[in-house]
Amino acid sequence: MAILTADHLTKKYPGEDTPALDDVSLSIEAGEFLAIVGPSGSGKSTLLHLLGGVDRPTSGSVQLYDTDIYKLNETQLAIFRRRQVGLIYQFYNLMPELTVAENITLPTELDGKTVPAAILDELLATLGLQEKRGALPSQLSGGQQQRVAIGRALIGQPAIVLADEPTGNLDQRNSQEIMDVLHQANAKSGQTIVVITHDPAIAAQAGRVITIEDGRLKEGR
Amino acid sequence: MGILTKLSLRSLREEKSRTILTIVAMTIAATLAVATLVGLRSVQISMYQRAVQSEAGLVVRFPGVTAEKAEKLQNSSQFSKTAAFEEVGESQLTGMTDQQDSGVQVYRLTAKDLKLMATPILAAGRLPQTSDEILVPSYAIGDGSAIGQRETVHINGQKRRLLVVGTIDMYAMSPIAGNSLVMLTKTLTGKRTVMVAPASFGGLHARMSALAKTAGIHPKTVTYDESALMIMGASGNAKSQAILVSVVLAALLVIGGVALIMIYMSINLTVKAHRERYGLLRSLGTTPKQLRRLVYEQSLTLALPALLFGYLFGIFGIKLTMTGINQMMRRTQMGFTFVFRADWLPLVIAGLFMAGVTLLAAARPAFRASRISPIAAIRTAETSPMLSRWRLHETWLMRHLHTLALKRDRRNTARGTMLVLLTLTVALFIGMTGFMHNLLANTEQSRDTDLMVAITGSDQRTAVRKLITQQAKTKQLAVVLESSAMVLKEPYALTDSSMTVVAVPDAQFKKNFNSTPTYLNTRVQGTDANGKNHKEWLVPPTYDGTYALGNADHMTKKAGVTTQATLVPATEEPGLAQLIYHDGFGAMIVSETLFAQWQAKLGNKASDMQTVAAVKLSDPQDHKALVKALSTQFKGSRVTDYIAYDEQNIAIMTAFRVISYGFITLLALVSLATIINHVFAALLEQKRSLAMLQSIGTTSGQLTGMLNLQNALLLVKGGVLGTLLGNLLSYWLYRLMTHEFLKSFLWPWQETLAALLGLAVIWLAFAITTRRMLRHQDIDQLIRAV
Ligand SMILES: Nc1ncnc2c1ncn2[C@@H]1O[C@H](COP(=O)(O)OP(=O)(O)O)[C@@H](O)[C@H]1O
Ligand SMILES: [Mg+2]
Repeated sequence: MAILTADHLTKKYPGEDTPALDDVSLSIEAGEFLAIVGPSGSGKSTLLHLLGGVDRPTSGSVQLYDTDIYKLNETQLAIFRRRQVGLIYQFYNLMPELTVAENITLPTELDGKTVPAAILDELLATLGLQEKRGALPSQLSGGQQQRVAIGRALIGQPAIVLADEPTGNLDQRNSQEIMDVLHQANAKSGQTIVVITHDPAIAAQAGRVITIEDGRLKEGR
Repeated sequence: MGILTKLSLRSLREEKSRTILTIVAMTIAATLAVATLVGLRSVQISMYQRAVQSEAGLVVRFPGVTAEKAEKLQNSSQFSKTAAFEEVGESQLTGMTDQQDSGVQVYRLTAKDLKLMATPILAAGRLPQTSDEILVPSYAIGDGSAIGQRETVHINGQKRRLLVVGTIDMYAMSPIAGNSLVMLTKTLTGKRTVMVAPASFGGLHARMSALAKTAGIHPKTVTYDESALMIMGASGNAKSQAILVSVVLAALLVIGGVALIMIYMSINLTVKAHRERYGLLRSLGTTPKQLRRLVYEQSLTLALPALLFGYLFGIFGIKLTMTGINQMMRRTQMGFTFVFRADWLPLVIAGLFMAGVTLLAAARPAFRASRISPIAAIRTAETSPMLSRWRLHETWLMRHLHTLALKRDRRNTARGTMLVLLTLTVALFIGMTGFMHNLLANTEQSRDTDLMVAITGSDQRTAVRKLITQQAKTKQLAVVLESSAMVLKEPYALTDSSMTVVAVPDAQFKKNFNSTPTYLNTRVQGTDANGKNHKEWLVPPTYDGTYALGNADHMTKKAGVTTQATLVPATEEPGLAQLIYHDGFGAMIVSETLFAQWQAKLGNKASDMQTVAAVKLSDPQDHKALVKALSTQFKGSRVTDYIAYDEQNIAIMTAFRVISYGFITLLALVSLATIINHVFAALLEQKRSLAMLQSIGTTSGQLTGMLNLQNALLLVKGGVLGTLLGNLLSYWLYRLMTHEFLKSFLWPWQETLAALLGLAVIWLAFAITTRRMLRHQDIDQLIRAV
């Protein structure tokens, strides 16, 4: 069953001649682990942002189940993001004033709910951050910070987790740890995950790989 | 506590410098608001107390109340004070005076009420202590009757011998003052007028009308001291109420405008600096409404301590100012004191005002924050354009840091706004204070006379001269005889006005005035054809006709004296000019012999003549003793003490200067704080870029130098432009106000110096902060963390 469908997505930035994303259609199955690869500047991040509802396409649509997300207003779209999407960036993008635990529970709290302690504990254990739950981001290493960001993406069990070069800034050991956490979530609770990466080794671990070049979908596997 | 509230509180704590800057900005705004409101409230109370002084605060009158109803009325809890008086009837002051023979009202009061109501209007003597003692109007004393004498008085046709113990000020506001006799009684017997001081002023007229009904009188007969009540905003007149409210609103509007700009800029800067964070929050699913709330909450959180500081500084500032002014007024015996009042009304208004201004100021930044696109935040985090541009120019940069500072200065549009604001602030400060300086300097006119005395009646010249020379050392002393005459027909400019005739010794008349009557011509304010004010001679200097003079009191059209006279500008006769200048209407100088002849021809009595002496003292300190000696020896003389008058003037001017300079300075501080805030915020914003520069080998000294140069450029440009504009502004304001006779313009160099010094101090503060910040900067963390 397709969980997320993109139809003829085109994104043209104002002032640019060629579109950053050109007529891309794609569908993502529930429980899938998808990797998007392509050279730098090919439009991978642009696609990911459109899938996650953080940008708006020039034309085309994105459907989550039966909802066309770009027909929603700002508030509805925000609620869509916090409930249905987990975003992970190359730079860890944590709130510097919040502790590890608070950063992780932030999207749920924004929804006016609290995360049951057992669930948080379990997640912290999976991430290997039990010891650090009260620490501030500035007291963490890069790998640890990225694990917090992953925790924040996973906590609400969103429909889809989107990661933009989550290991781009990390050494190999830390990269593998990050990928392990993502794979574990995919395997254990069937979390749908989309990862952008340069790294052929990481792409090789994905269930499906698609390639983008010059804003166009080149091949799928 | 919601997660966003937690986040906002922690970020305030985290970014201490920014938080403190914003609180300082808001505190200045709050101080301005509190000081203005408490100041206005205190002035209001002071004016009210002065207005109701002579009626002892009893501003509402219920006439014709019966004894038992009066008791109930007077016990009402709506009053802070009450008193009652009874109108006994009419009286004739036969034998006491030849004036105002009829229509004198007689009032009776009990001892307690007499003390309350008569004390503030007692002009001389004491209060009656028995029922055959009376107070009389001040005009009734003199011409044979005096305090301490028994007089015959007719009351309701009945003849009584009563002891006059004191006099009443005829012009006081009190209902028992005026053309009246005031007596003591054990109890009131008939219908009476009940006077009350209301405990509060809200809905006064309606409440008093209701009380009137229960007191058995028609509400329409109740009278109010509307002019006093107007001060408290409790007048029955809707228009005067509206005026009072508009005054307060206008003041609040001015402060509100300034505070709004300032708070807006602070909040806006914070929001701008938090762009990435807000974008991140948006990408995590924060709704626009939640973000707006975050900004509002954060702003109000900062406004609260600012308001408390504002209360503290505003209240103490006004208290201190008023104490100072009061001390000065007491020293100069002005008989007016400011009452300090910081009650709930101005404080609540200040609180609401600050909350309102803060919310208003936060509205646009909040809207902007909610509109930040999540994508913008993500993208800027990936590549900061500033960083990459700088990285490209690494080596060039090292050599040309100062050129870079200049370039950045030119590129930065916010700095353009700051420059305009700074220039305007400096210009307004110098312009306004310089203008005030000139105005005040011009009111301090020099004086030839320290003291003048005029004694009506027979020639007292020898006695006056003797007393003055005994009492004090004089620099100059002139003693002359004066009388007045009416100018008939000629010269045309003086027709139907009274003219002073001054007698000088025959020898002097011959020597200084060529034995010819001499008219001392003065200049008066006139209006020319274009409606511009200018000074013109009272009598045209080319006039060579005669002077036709008649008796000053009776308007007979027949001239007693017709004479030729030399026309001389008063200013060329300084010895005498000082004597006659006081009324500004010229004078005719004659010899003693001629004066005596004219007195007869004009039909003047001895009582129409006065001895006038003008003194310039060697030691101004002697003035008090001399005034006292003169008024004791010459009863009924008029003594004018210009030194005391000057002291009062100086006190008023100083008070005025303190208040206006204080207000201007506070306003200047408000906008300076905005600029400081902005520069510091810009510095904080650059933290990461600066760390990058440091990481590639720029020393902190080089960076400090670059930033100092940037700030110096801003301050020097603003200072120079502001000084130019400010000096021009003060000159222009001065030209607008000026008349030919004002002194020449004083360039406000002291004010300019003060402004420039202020800018230098600010620059120094910037320099020190920058140095400290760069020294303690954790480069690694700043480059890596968002
Ligand atoms: N805000 C923007 N304005 C203009 N062009 C942009 C913007 N964001 C991205 N681009 C351009 O769109 C293209 C695709 O960018 P991106 O999706 O980030 O590529 P990738 O993630 O594959 O490296 C690039 O050429 C990039 O320069
Ligand atoms: Mg990318």
